[in-house]
Amino acid sequence: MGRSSKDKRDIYYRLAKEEGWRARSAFKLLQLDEEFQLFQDVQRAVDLCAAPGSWSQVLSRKLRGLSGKSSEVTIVAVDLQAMAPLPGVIQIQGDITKVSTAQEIIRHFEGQPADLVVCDGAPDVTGLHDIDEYIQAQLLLAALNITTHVLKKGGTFVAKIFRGKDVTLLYSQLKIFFSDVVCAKPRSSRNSSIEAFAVCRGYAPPDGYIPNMSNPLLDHCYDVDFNQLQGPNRIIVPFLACGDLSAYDSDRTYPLQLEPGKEYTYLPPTQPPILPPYQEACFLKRNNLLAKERGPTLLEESSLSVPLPSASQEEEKLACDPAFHRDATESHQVMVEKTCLSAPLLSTSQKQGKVVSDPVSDCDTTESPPSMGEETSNPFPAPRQERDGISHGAACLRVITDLPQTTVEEAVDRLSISS
Amino acid sequence: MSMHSVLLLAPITALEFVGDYLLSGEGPNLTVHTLKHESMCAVNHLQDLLRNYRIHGIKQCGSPCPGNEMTVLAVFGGKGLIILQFITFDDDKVKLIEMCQFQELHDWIWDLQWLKDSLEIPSSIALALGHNSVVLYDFLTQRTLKEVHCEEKCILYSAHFVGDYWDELTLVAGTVFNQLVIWQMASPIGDEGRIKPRCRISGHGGVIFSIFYLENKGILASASDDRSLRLWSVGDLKLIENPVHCSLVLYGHQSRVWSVRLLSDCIISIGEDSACIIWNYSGDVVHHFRGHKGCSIRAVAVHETNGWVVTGGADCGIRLWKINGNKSDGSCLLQLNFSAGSRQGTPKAVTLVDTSCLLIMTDTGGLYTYDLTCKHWKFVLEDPDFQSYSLLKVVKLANNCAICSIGNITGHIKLFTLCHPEEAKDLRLHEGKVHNLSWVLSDGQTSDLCNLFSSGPDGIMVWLEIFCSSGQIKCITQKRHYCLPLCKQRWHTSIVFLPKEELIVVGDRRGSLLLYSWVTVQNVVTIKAPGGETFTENNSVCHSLESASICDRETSYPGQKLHAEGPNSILFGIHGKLGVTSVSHHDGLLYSTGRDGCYCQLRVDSGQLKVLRKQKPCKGMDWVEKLYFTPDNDLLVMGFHSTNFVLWNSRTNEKLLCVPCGGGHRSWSYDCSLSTKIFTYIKSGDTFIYQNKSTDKSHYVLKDSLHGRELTSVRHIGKIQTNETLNILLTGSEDTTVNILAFNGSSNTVFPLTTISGHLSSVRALAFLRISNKDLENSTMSTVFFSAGGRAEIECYRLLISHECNTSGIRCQVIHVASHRLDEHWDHMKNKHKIVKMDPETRYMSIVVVNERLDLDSGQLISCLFLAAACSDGCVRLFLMSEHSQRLLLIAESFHHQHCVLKVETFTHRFAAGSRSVFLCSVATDGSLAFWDITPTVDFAKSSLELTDGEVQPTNLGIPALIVQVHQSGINSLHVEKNSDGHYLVASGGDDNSIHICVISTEVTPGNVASSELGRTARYQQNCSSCIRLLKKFVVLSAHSAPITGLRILHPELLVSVSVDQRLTLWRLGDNGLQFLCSKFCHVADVAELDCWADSELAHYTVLCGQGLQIIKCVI
Repeated sequence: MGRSSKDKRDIYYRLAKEEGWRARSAFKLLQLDEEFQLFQDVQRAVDLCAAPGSWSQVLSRKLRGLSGKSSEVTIVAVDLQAMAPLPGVIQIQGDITKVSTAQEIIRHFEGQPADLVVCDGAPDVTGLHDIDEYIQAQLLLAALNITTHVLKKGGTFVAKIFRGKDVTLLYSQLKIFFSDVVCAKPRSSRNSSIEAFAVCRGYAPPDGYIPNMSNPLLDHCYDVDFNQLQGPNRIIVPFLACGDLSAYDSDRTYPLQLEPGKEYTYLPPTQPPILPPYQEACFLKRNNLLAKERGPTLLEESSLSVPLPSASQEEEKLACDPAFHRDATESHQVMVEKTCLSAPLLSTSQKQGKVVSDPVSDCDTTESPPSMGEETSNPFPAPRQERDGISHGAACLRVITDLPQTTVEEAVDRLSISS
Repeated sequence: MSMHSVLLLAPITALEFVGDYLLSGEGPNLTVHTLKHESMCAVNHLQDLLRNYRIHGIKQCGSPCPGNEMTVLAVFGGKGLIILQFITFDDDKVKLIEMCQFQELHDWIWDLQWLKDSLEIPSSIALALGHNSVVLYDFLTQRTLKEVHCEEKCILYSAHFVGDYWDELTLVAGTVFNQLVIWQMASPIGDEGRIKPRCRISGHGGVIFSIFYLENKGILASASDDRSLRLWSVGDLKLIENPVHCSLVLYGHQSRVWSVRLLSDCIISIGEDSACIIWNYSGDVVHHFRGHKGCSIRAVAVHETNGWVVTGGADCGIRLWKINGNKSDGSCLLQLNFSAGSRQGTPKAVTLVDTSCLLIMTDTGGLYTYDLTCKHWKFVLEDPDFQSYSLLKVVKLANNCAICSIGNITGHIKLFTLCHPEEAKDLRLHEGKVHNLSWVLSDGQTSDLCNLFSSGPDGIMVWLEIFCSSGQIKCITQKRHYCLPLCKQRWHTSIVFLPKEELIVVGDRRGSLLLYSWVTVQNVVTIKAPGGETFTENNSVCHSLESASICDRETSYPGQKLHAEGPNSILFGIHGKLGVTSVSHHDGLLYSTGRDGCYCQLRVDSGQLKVLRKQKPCKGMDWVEKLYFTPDNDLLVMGFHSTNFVLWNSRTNEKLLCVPCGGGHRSWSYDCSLSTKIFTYIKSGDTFIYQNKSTDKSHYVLKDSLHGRELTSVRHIGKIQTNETLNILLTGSEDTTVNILAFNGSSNTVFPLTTISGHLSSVRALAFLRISNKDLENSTMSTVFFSAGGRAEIECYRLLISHECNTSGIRCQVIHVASHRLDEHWDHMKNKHKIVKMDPETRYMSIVVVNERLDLDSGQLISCLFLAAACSDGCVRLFLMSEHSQRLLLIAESFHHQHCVLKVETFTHRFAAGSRSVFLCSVATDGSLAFWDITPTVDFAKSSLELTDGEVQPTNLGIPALIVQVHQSGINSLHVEKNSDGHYLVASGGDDNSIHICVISTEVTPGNVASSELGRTARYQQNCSSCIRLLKKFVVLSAHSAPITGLRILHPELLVSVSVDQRLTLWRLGDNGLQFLCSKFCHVADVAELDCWADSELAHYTVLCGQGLQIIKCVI
């Protein structure tokens, strides 16, 4: 597995790097626009859960580029955490569940409501589908709630949706607020992923509806008539696949040389990760500082002197061991691969294309933390971690702040710059 | 019409002890296991307790009191809640009664607490909900008494209640913003109608997945996405104030930490790395339990008085671990300090005579024994001839006589019994260095006979038979001389007798396995004798043995010239260049292990060695030394994992022993008795002994694992008749393995038969040769199956399952037939690390066996079988498998689709004229159906196979005979079935939520029929001109609310579909299209595939796989 392997497994990941997008999800919005002309006559757009900013990039390039009159277009990107600045995009570092955030958006629009609200946010997936789908639904409802504060009547709302067991409950909720709800799947979103996009057009809240953020919007329940748990009556919105059929296929594996005469060159990711939650743990793992079980206690028969195995001797042995070499290089590659394009993993801002974890085909530009790749699911810890043998105790690091700051910085550097 | 779930294997999401009973939540089902006696079994099972919700928590009311036989339990998960009475009677029987019915709340329940009223009687419950609110709930009247909200109203990932009364109730909430927010329900309500948090704790770098508070220590613990555990000294939580001191940060999990528990003397954590870690309060790891397959451990429960920790995994398994005993009681490492006494020299070789005695050879040629019980050294003998180089081997006979042999660099061998070392016999068997000595016992011999094999220069191996009684060597006979195949390191490493066949199997240093005969000389090999002369006699070449002198009078020496016989059969280099480590036989089969990290299962077939299967038993163990079979048929693998000596249980997937000895390149020895395991080794010039005396098992498997990752494919292979009917299922998974399971339809239980781990990457598709009807309902089954997946890899196996009437069990044998990898050439390339591999990383998405002949007897060796594969690089490929030549050949391909091909199906149409056409149907992510007539390709491949046995250049499949655009995007399920009109129904289910039915007819183009009377080529023509037409199309647009991943036509009027929306739906297929019949919520998330079988006319079983496995019975 080389660094080019992900370029091969995921064509849109590669194209995103070649075209300078911060994440491959940029293509999803582009393809949604192709189908629905989302950007037509849009002057004020909001990007919720924007980090790392690929959808804001698309909004900026398409809206400002199209109109040519950049001053007339306002784009506001909201996320809990800061992201690298983008030309023509106003950033708000705020919580989408707070009414103050809604007010700030409107302030940037000089009191006018937005024409378009988009949200590509996904939660920190746990792998248990019921929890992940529930949390994704709550995220969508939070986005819908703030949208009701900022969107103009007749406006459009686009949000990521997981087509799971209770998706009909979300559809029924969205249909209350919008005259036209469609479930759209861009071709750049994997067939194997449960991700899709709810494209809600014609914002028309019920008569007398007063936007309210003091309480979260809760999801609907199944009923006996119109949206049944097991019966034939369910609220399912029309499905539309979007993007040109002749476009690249996100499920297909392509050779590195896409066209004759076009040489392949490896490109580093556009946007390195900012402080992912696993950063410290990965540093410790790489440097063999994770706590581990002690070896058997050594008892001596008669004397107290225990010959310590000389460190250099052990090192030599390890160096000769082919298994050691392979494990070490592999795990290194995994780290590099998995961390190189990750987005900030603050939960509301994480982009996770797919709850389905697939060892071969990863979902989005950003991906799950390096946890259970084929290479890392080793029944034993890496040999490096066990070299202390019998005589040294287990190295247990309790408080990370003891580490020399320079070492930490170095490691962080290495985390973010792919070799 | 009914649909009900008969079996569910799903991630274990909740575990709880109630007295000595263990309750587990698996999907919506609750199971009670009794742990009272040594036998641990499920005693009660409640299905669909939480309807469409998974059980995430089980909480009992109050602490259990031994006298009370009734406990009240709250079971919750998602938004669902139910209260049960748990009643024990008749010693170990359990009854569960619904105390109040299933209730659904308006938000997700993260935690539940039983609350007491002022009279100390449990009166109500508190529920912590998804947006940081708490509900006070009267469970008897099923009413919400009040709901209070916290000022922090964000989404929670975890919550933990502290306090038994509403007035003191405190919630610790783990928010999506990586904080712990602590607030009290009885606090005054603020301006917005919300309660202000008492305290916020920050520090974690990710969301909080689990919280636990231990009151008597005043410690709060949290587990997080940042892979750490943090302990906070909070004192009395009710009085908590900022700032809070973090007392411990624990990093030990390789991945995210899902849950944490605090006990009085330890901390327990479980994580995504499938490890359960027991920590002490100073932050050291006390135990590190591993055993669950693959990914996460999801649930943990603790029985503190018994010292039990129970974990439940995403692999559907449940394990019990014991923590009370300090493990140093059971095992210890002892350094012998050989040189501390006035003993000469340093130990060079060590070997165990039995579990209480070891033998050491020093660099001065001295031999010592060490008694492990009385810790006493004893000098045996010393011979300076053995000081520079010596081999030391010992054997203990059944008559308790221990015989030792030592060999040196000049070809001398010394043989003696340990009780009479002074009567040592000296022999010179070889002209040069003794390369190896092996003691071998044979079942066919009496207890006072044993065999010694000695390998000398030029690949000559001598077999001596030694007769030994009353502690003395009475007689040494040279039985035979064998010759090993020519190679650089030409000596044997291991030997086993096959007394029935009168054969011996030898493993050598070159990694080859050799078969020799005891009796007749069959092969003739030229041997160069030590003197340089060769003798030829009666067409055979013999080796002069005059130089081998045997000095003792008592030794009988036949005196005749012995032939050095060559092997009858050779498997050259099967275990790689580092050599074979052991050969053994068990239950009628041969096993060999090697330093390539593999073991082979073999058999002797008409005088030849034949490999049935080669497996890598343990990931990372590159040096497999030996196999042991336990009485209950677990396979234990002994070997070296980098620098550790490891004993691995391959069934339970755990290390039984791990000794950091420094690696296998040293002198070491292992022996075990019922209660003791001894490993001894030499390191840094001294001898170390590792002793493990654990008498009782420290861990138990309460429920078997299924797969370590998601299941991608399932197939019902057939039924086998034992006392009951067993259904054989095949499952493939992303964990790179294939499982063979037996499902008992009368008890609704499933048990694993075997696991196949041959793939480098995930298994995505399975296919098998469908057994014709006459083979069904038999007590034996034999078929061929294929597994395919990532790294463009296909494996083919023959599966033999038989029921032996005299035993209750069934025997399952898997024989590896053939493999294929598209990029195999890449592995053989030199300097591949320097080159960027330009080829696409193709994976197989789906495979299907082209079952063109109905009369194929699946039990016979198959000369020619076709397999079609859907490939992610946009190609449809056709393979030919020949069982005779054990080869899988790519014969044809087409890149017509230009999109990732998702599914393939085939059907064979028989024309009235007697000819047949073979069709292939393929679908891709572009939503189109393509039909190919592969008859000419198949016929051409068959004819060319007869002509050449070499490589076949794949032909182009050409263009499809028919293309139908049906779906908007990817087609995730496909099935073809013939209807009563002789037409074909092609059902497809897509990513676009829709089901399409295409009715297809196949016809012979008129005008060519007459030519069928002509020869082969003419018929060929006729087949080419068969045409395929679309008659009509039906569609249901929003059949499901998510991608349809499974579809089967049960009979021409009935269709079943399953989708990622977790609904299994039955449809009636009429002239006007599909009509909804009924639907059932299923509990397998991310359903990947569906298979069906008929039980009777009206009953159909459907099996679904994904994040688990479920079998649903549909009765029409």
